[in-house]
Amino acid sequence: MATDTAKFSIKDLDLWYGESQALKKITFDIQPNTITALIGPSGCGKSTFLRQLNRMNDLIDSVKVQGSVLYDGLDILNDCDVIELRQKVGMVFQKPNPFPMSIYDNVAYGPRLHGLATGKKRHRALDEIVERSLVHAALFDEVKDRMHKSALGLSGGQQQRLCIARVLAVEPDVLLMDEPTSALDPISTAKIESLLDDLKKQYTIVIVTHNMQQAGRVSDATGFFLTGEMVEFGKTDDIFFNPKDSRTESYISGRFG
Amino acid sequence: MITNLSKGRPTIRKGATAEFLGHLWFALSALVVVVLLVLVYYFVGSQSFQTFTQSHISPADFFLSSNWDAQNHLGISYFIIGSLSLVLLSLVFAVPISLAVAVFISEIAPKWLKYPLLRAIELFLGIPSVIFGLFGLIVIVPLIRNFLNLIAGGIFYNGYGLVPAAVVVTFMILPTVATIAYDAMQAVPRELREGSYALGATRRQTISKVLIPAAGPGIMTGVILGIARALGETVAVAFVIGNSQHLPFGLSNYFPYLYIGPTSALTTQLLFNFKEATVGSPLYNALWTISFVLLVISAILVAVSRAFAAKRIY
Ligand SMILES: Nc1ncnc2c1ncn2[C@@H]1O[C@H](COP(=O)(O)OP(=O)(O)OP(=O)(O)O)[C@@H](O)[C@H]1O
Ligand SMILES: [Mg+2]
Repeated sequence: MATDTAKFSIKDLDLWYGESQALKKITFDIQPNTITALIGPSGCGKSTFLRQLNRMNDLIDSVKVQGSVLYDGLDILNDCDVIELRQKVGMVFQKPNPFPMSIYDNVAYGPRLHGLATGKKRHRALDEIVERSLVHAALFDEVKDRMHKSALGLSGGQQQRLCIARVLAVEPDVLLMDEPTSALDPISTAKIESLLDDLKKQYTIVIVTHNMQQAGRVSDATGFFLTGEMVEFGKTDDIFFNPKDSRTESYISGRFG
Repeated sequence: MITNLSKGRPTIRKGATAEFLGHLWFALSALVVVVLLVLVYYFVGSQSFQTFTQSHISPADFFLSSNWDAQNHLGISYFIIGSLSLVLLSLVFAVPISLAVAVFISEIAPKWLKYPLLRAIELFLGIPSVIFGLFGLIVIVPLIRNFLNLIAGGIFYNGYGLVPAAVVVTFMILPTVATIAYDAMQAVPRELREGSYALGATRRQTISKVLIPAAGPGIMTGVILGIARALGETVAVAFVIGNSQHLPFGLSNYFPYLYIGPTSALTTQLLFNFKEATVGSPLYNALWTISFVLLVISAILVAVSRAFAAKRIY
């Protein structure tokens, strides 16, 4: 088994919202430095699953979870510090959600929380983190002259890259992205897709997408969800060209969902 | 439409007349509001200038002098100071408490507690101010009197003055500021909070660094409304402020070295003096000038609150 080298090892994960079960016996591994795409029809539990990997579901009172999720071998459903986990496992949301503050302050938000810039030259260090993160998110050139202007003045695509920069600034290890380009135009989408390819050298990425071409273009592995179950998981090429399950095949070829 | 057809008599003209009358009613109502407003400003404004024209008091003396003697000299600076310090002290008490209440209901309270609390605050909002005044007189003033006389030596405190007035005003403005702050916090999208939590922020950090700044302009509108009420409140304040022509506070030779005693605000000064003022006397004119000052400040506050409302993000 590849379990001991996996970034995430998910086993028999069940999740309920109150009485209704949203995830059923999810079991698979996510390998480091890969991009894993999660696809499936609306309401099948992709977001719910993703939000379990950094325990965002904790914010919802009615959620009950069973099973195990190991992150680097650590059981994150039980003994784990959520604050530390979320610093390591960052998240980019479907709708860009910049804070109503300056571009600089948005990116500096996480590092300031976690005291990442320390020492005598604290301000310089913070400047460097902010610049490095913006460069990394392919946004720096577009905003370098307006770092202290409100982030709400950016375009949707720029806002989303800012949100990526904001996550990169806390030096995470994993990036969870829930339909990060669904609110964006094709050009912004292309920018973020090429960014993903670059980011995977350093990070493990899990991305939820409704866009089959996107899943095909960017991901190494793909998981197909249907009504709370993981129907099939494998190499992206296999899922797309050689699906084992007939339901996967129907979905890929656009026959339902 | 169908009934019209079945009767065989189109009623288009009747409908048009009804619509015209309806519009006329709205337009006239709006006109009445505007005319009333202009009349109030004109009336109070023209009366207030009599102080300077008919009674020959210099504006500088009127606003800067502290000597108020109904027969001889009229200066309102102490009442201005009284009103301003009442507003400030009330805000010092009310803003942190209101914010805490709003944050608690919006972010912390479990669902089953949330709605009872909101309803309770609405009830609070409806309490007539005279009841707060009575409460201040019967409960707060003796409390302050006993407390001050216990810790202080050398001077007797009767308990009236700025502090009980600010406490009473705090009770009155707290529900207003809290509900407006609560609404402003509710308007902040959930995605923003999630963005903060997802970066590893605690709830406390998310509230103080994202939620409150994002709701800031909305909260400020509530605070300005609170200021307007604190400034304008008369009856409740009259019960406890002590009605004396002194500064609200002063230095003292004895512990705690700061004397707090009976004083007056612009509003209570109006209330207590109007009975004695004969039409056309300097006192009468001066009271109108005080009214006009209150009117102008309230107009400025409304403008400031509009400015904050325009800056709302969510
Ligand atoms: N907060 C919640 N409370 C109760 N039920 C929820 C909640 N969030 C999601 N659900 C339910 O859980 C199921 C899975 O939802 P989820 O959002 O994970 O689907 P999804 O695959 O991300 O869908 P989409 O592609 O539309 O984003 C759905 O039936 C949804 O109605
Ligand atoms: Mg989703």
